[in-house]
Amino acid sequence: MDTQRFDEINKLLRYLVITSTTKAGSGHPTTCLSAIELMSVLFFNRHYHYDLSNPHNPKNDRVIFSKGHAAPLLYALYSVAGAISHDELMTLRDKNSRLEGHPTPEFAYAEAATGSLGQGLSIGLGIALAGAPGVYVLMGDGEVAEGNIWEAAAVAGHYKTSRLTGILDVNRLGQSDPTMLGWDTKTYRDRFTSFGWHAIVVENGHDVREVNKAYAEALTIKNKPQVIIAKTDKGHGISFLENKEGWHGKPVPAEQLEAALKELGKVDLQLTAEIEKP
Amino acid sequence: MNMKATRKAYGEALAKLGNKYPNVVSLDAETKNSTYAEDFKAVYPHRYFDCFIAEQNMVGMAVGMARMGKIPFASSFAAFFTRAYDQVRMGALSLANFKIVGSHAGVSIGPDGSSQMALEDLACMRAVWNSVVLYPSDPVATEKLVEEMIKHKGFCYMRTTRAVTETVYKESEKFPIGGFKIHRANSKLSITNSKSITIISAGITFHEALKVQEKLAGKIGVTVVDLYSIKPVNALELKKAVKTQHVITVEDHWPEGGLGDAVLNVFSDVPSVSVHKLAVSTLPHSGSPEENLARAGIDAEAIEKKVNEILSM
Repeated sequence: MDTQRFDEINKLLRYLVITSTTKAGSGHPTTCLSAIELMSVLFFNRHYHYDLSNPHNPKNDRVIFSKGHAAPLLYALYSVAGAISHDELMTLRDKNSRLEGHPTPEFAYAEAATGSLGQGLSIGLGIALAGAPGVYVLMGDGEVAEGNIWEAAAVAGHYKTSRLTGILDVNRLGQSDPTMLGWDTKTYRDRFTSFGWHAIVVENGHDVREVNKAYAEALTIKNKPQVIIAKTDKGHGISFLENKEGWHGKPVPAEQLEAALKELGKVDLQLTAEIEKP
Repeated sequence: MNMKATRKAYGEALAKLGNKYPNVVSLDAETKNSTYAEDFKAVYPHRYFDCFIAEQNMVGMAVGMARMGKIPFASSFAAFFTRAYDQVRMGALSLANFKIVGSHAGVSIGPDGSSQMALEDLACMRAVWNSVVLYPSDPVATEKLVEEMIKHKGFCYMRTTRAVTETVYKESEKFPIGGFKIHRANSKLSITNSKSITIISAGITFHEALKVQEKLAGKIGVTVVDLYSIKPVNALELKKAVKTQHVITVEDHWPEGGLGDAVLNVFSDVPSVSVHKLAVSTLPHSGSPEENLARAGIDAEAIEKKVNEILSM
């Protein structure tokens, strides 16, 4: 695995998430920053197969951001893939933009409107049972307090569908408080395992090698849904946001933007990466 | 008399239409022998998904399947979809082509008691963005409306009835979304004089309205409207169809947000027409279907009383 290439991709994703939310004046950049490595490895290391010219291609894998408030990251990923310009990313949350605050079908690569938490895993299960080859559902740790998640976990376990992969971004922090379980990945693992899932714990969700290994392991599992439970830092990569309470749903203020971007170092704005076709 | 419950007609219709529409799939929350989704399962076991008693997940799954080009019909007791209302709301915002069929609506389910009675489902589903809300009164209407749901792109809700009811319509009748059926009194009484009235209802109470029409024949000209499409309502045509000063609406639903309010919306700018709502306004209880309709004040007797009260004013 070319980790240097991923360093560059991840810097660019962080840059795009931070600048687009600061430009919008609202949004959830810290929620995006915890999931950067989890998503960039999925998208750009040939795990995720998708035909950008045809979202309804039946051979497409599918990605659902159940944690819909990470929408800026969803848009940034497709921007790095070449499907959206950086200029358009800067229209995030505008009244005429297809890039709404939380994903909606106006954005053609969103499988569903999400943001009412706890619903994405069910939608992913429906997509998997309807025949999509692989379905990846990004969940926040806060939202797994929703009963709907465990309804989906139980029914997916019953159907033993290996086409469904959950990605649990355990960044420890909710909106107003830490989550009930914090970084207790063992308990999350035990819960999913008891529902008939194959659970893979990633001790460092910002280590692209470890994340890559988890996706590779998930692919080998037969007759079971899989979940990758990754310990992450909310706001990862920016010292004054990282693992700090009080930053949920807040963009970097314009006056702190320069300081935040300086921490990223030199970003290659021309960089693109390919999503492998089905 | 040909008697059948609309919930049974639903299961039979879906099974019958399955061949013509290969993308139709069925999901049910462990109530398939009550909703009659089992009729579809019997013919198409691989297009049927048991979702167990987990309605929120079932609606989410339906939204996902719709994204893949399937036409999912999710069924359970109508009352239990209220717990998945957020999922329905999000499905509508996802522009998903999904269908929900809720059975056992209203106090007319009888002895099972209030926890099993959907009495707010019409209000809930009417309030969903761009929704279609259907409430068939007989097996023919049910089958035709199931096919309309399949052909319509977008979210549709159908309310079915537990009790068996009489088959009223001929096979040749058409039931377009947005339509209604008028049943004029078979008498020489003018429908526009002071001894005339219009009763608008659907489902179980439509049959109560027909009883009133028959009983009052020759004395009072009762026009009965079967408003099987609760949303959308063709306001222009309904205004034309109603030729009496007074309209009574009757529904097995709370007074808020259901059929009566849909009719009130239509006549809100017609000062010459008065709309009187009959709906369930007391706390429901176990009892026979007939007792429950009487207690709720929505049976034939209650309607007749209301007719006499209005026309003697």
